[in-house]
Amino acid sequence: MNAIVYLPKMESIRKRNFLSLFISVGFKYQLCEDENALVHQLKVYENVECFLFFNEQEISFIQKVIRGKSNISAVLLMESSLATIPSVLDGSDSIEELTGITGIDQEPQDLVTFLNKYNFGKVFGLEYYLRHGTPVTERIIRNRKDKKDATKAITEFVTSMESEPGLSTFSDYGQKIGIALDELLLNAIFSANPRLKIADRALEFQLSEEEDVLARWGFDGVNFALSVTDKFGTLDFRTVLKYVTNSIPLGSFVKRSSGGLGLFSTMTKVNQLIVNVEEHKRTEIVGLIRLEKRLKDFSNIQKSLQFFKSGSS
Amino acid sequence: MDILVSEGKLEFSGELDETTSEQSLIDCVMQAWDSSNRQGRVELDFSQVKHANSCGLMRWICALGQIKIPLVYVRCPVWLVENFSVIPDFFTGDIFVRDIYVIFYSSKDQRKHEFLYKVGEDLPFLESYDEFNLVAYVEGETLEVDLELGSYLSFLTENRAKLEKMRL
Repeated sequence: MNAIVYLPKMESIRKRNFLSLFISVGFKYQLCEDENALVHQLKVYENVECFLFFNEQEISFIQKVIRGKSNISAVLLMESSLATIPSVLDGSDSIEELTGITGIDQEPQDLVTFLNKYNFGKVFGLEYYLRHGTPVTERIIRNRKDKKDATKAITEFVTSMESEPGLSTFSDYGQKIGIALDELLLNAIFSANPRLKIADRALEFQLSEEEDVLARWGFDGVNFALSVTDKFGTLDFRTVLKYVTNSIPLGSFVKRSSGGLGLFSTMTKVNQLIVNVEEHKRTEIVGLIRLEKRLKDFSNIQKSLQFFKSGSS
Repeated sequence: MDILVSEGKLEFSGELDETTSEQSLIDCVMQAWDSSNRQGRVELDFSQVKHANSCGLMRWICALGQIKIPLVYVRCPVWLVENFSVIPDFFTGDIFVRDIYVIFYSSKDQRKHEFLYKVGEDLPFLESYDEFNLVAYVEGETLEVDLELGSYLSFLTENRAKLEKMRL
């Protein structure tokens, strides 16, 4: 696959590493290192996939570039806060068609996974983010008891990894991950389902086979991954960005449904959030948490958000 | 969610979630207020709540919007303080925060230690907490804060005018 890659100025070894990742997943790329080159290449190759890496200093340039362009595949934000994303995409006509956006300063493996998913169009599954062979637990959620049991099970699973009772981090991670799963389940059970969207969430619910929700999780020794999949596939990039990046006024929660707060809350408890959508068929949200020894180290990890829209599994 | 009501005080435990009743939250607060002869501030202690999801937070915030009596958050657990910083509605009405937990980490035994800090005394009101630091000592060891204090305490800056005035 041919691609235009725009990389801003960076240290040469890092640049080489970035570019080699494109080759390793099967891309032939045309590198642009400055604004003029990118503008020129975009004019010459109108139908070539385009990956734009940029940092916060280049917001106005990137805004100008992506406006009105339909071949921007991914805008990859480097070493910047998630709150920057909406302003970058403001005015983009093709936001719904963007395949992904992510904070790139983690391991190169993250970018390989991202490019592989893009290149091959197979985007579903938390297995992409766990070492090969990692056992994955699955729960099907049809009612409140299933939801509570799953939340309890994931919390206990993480807490039980503590080698000695009383050590700080795992019980805290267990609590965080339990709430993250709960939030994703609430979204999948209620917000995604047209039948239950405006239902009183305090009431008992029963999901049919066509509506049930799948929760999965696994730990490979470094990364903990959890995912929740609904059978509706209606979540869009604009909605995800709006809630996850906290770009809406938070001053009036009383007037809002809790769906957005749930996504925002989930983002605060994970390092990476990956949203995979097969339109009108399913939405899978994957949360990744790197279990650091100290909670402060966990909160210092750059947050990353990715969005994939796919027609295949 | 379980709520223990005593004179001028509410102790919450269990789960604050979508099954929590907004009306029962309001009723319990009013009961505590009545039992204190409608004096002082009703203390709200969420320290024993281990699981709070967005629906539960919404229930509390909606209840808060309808409660018109003086309240004070006490012994605030970390999850609650983290939400203070992103949801301004926690300070709707006549409400103060007395003390909050801060987590410390011991590199010696790799354990978590939690200490209570009083707002306005141990934690002064500042324009920013980015440069602010806390240290604690346990058995001769200096413990480091295991939180990003800049963002953790930002609710004090955002609600400074109101909280400072109430403290006076």
